[in-house]
Amino acid sequence: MKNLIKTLPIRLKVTIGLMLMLVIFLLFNVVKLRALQSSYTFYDNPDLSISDVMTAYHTYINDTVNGYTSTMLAAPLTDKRGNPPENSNNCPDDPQKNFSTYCLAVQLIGDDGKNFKGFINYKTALQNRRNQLADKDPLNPYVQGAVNMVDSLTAIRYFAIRQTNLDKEIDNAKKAIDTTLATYDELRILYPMHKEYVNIFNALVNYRDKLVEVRHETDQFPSRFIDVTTSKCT
Amino acid sequence: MFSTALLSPFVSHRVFGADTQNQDTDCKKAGSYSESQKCVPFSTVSIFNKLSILDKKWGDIFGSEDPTVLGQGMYNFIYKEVGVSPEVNAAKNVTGKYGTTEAEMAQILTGNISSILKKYPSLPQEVAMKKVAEIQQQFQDEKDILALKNSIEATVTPSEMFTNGTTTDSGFDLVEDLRDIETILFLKSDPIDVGANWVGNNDPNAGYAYNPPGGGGAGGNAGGAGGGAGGNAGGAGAGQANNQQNANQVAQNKVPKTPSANPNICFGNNSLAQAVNSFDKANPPAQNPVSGNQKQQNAGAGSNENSALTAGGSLDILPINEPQTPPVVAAPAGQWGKKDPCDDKVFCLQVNFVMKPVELFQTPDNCIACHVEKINAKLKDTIGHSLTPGKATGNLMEPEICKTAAATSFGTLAFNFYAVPKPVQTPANDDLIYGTSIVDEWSSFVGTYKPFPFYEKNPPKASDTKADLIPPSEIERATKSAIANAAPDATFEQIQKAVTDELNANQQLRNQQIGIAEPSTQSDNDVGFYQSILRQLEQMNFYFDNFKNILHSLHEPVDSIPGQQACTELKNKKQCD
Repeated sequence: MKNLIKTLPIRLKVTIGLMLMLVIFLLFNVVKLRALQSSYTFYDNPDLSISDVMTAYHTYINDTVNGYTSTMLAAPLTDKRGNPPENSNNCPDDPQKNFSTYCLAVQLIGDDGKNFKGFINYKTALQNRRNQLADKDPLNPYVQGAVNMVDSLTAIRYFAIRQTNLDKEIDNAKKAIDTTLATYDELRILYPMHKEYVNIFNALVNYRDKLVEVRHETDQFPSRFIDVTTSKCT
Repeated sequence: MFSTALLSPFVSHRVFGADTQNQDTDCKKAGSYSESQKCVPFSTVSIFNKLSILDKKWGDIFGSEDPTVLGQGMYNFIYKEVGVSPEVNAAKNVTGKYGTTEAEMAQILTGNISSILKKYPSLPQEVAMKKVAEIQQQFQDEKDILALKNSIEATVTPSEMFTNGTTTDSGFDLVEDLRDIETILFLKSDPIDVGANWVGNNDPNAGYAYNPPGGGGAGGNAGGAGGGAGGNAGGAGAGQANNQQNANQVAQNKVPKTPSANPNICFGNNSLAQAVNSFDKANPPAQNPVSGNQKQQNAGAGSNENSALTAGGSLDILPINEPQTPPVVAAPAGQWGKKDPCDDKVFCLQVNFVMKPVELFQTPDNCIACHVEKINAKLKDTIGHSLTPGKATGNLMEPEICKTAAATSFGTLAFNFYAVPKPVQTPANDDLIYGTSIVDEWSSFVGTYKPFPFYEKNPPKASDTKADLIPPSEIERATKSAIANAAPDATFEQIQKAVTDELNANQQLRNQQIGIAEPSTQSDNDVGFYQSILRQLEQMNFYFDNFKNILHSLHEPVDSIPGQQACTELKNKKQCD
C-alpha cells in the first residue's frame, strides 16, 4: 500500500486528499443538521411570519378537534373508544381508534413526543420569537419600517407591543385549549344521553299510540246495559 | 446549499389568503402608515378575519342536531371568544365614542398621533400625546371588562349550555328532552327554572323594574363645566329637572317590593342596592361639556383647541359621543294596498272552515296518563255492572235470577281486567359509588346462564350413587328429545336433522339471552338504565298490541286469535234456554 502511494504523482495525491477532506466536511455537516432537525419544528421556520404561524397552529388545532368531535358524535353510548387507554402512553393519533378527552388533550398539547404541531412547540416557538424585534411579515410593511430603524421610537414601541401580544397569545391559546377540552368532555358525556332520551321519547310515542288503539277498542264497550233482565225465567 | 435541501421538508412556506400581495402593495403605497387596519403591528384580529369566525355565536356552533355539523369549528369559536372578541369589541366601542374610523383608531391604539394631527394640524404634539394616552386607557379598560366577561362566559357556558332548558344556544338540551318526555307522559310539565334566565319583570311583585332613562338625560349634559364653549347651556334646566325625576323614579323602582314565591331566585342585598343608589345620586356621571357638533363649530371658528382643555379640565378634541338609546317607536303598519272590506260595514262575519278527522279524544288529552285514565274509567263503566239479572219485573218475593242465562253469558264472555303495577327496575344509585366488579359480574353471568354445566361448583363424587353424577350434555338432551319425538318410521337422517335444528335453536337462544343480559352487566350504569327502560317500553308496546287484538277479537275476527267472536255469540244467544 505504501509503495502504491509512493508511486502516485503528487498532483493526484493532493486531489485525493482534498476530496477526502470535502467528504469529511460534508459528513460533519450532515450529522450537525440532523441534530438540529431534532429540535426544529414547523413553527420555528424563520420564513414564516407570526401571522402564518398562528394561523397554521389554530387551523391545526381546530381541524383536530373537528375530527375528534365528528367521530365521537357518531359513536354509540357503549363505545369503549371513548375511554382513555389503560396505558396513558398509548394514545393513538387516529380518533377512530380512541376519541377520549384524554387522547384529544394529548394530541392538542403535543407532549407525547410525536406531535410537533401541538401547543408545547407552538408556545416554544412564540417564546423564541419574543426577543426578536421583528420577523418576516409580508403583510406588514410597517414592521419593515420599524426594522429599518427609520423611527427608533416607533421601533421600540412596536417591540413592546409585539412582546405583549405574544405573551397574550400564549395565554389565550392555553385558555382556548382548556375551554375546548371542557366543552368536548361535556359534549362527550351529554350527547349520548340526549340520543338515549330521544330513543325513550320515540318509544313513548309508540307507547302512547298503542294505548290509543286500545282506547279505541274500549270506547266501544257499552256503559249502559238495558234489558239485561228477563221476564221469561221459569 | 445542503442545509436548505435538508431542511426543505420542514419549511414549506404557506401563504394564508389569496390577496397577500395586494395588501402588501396597499400598505407600501401609504408609506409607514396606512389607513388600513392590516398595516398595524400584528394582531389576533387579522388572523381570525381570515378564518371567518368572528360573527359566530354559541348557537351557530352547537345549533344543529346533525352530528356531522354539530360542534364543528368549536375551537376557533372558543379561541375567538377568549382572545379576539374583547379586542375587536373594545376597539369598536372606543371608535364609536370618539367618532373616528376603525383604521384611525387602530393607528391611535398603537400610539400613533399622526391621525389626530391630520385632523387638527395646529394641535401641539404634547396635547395629542395626552389624548392618545387617554384613548389607549379607555380601550384597555373596555378590553379588560370584555375579556373578563368572555372568560367567565367561556368557563360557565360549556357546563350549562346543554342543560339550561333552552335550545337557542345549542342543538339539544337534556332539560328540554326531559320536559318533552314529561309532556308525553302527563301532558303538562312543571316549569323548570333552575339554570334558566331570571326574568324578574314577569312578576310585578318581585324583582327590579327597570325604568330606562328618558330624554332628560341629554339635557342634563349641558349642566357641567361648559364655560369654555359659552352659549351651549340652553335648555339645560328642563333637562336636568327631568333627569332628576327619572333618577328618583329609578331609585324607587330598584327597591324590591316583596320576595318572590320562586325559591330558586336569590335577591340582592337591599341595603347594598340602596347604598349604590345613594352613591349614584351623590355622584352623577361626568358629562362632556359640549356636544361634538357644537365643538366642531367652535373649532371651525378659529378657537384654540387648548381652551377647552384648560377651561373644562378635559381633552375635548375627538369628543366622546355617548351612545344614545334610540326611542322606542312602534313598528309601521303593513301596507296591504287593499282596503279592509269590514271597515264600511256595521259588522262582518268571518267564516273559517276547519276540517279535521273525528277523534274520540281531543288533542289536549293526547298523553299516556290521559289515555290510561280514560281507559280505566271506561272499563269501570263496563265491567262495574253486574250482568246478572237481579231485578224483578213482576214476580214479587221470587228470586228473579235467570241462572241459566247468567251462566251462559259468563261462559261466553269471560274476561277480566286487573291492574297490576309493575315497577321498572333501574340500577340503584349506590352502584355509581361502589361500582361493579368484573369478576363478580362474570361469576353471576356464568352462574345464571350456566354455559358450562360440567364444571359446576362442588360436583358430586362418583362414589355417591344417589346423586345425578353428570348432567346430560346438550347434544345428549337433543338426541333424546329427537328420538322421543320422532315418528316410528323416521330415518337416521331425519333424527340427525332434528338434533341439529335443536342445537341451532339453542345457540340462537343463547345469543339472544346474552344480548339481553349484556347491557345489564355493563360497568356503565347509565347504559343499564337506558336499556332497561327501553326494554320495558318495548315489552309494554308488545302487550298493548295483544290487548288491542284480544279486545278487537271480541266483535271482529282477528288472524292471530282463532275462534268465534264472543260479542256476536252473546248477541245471538237466547236469554233463557
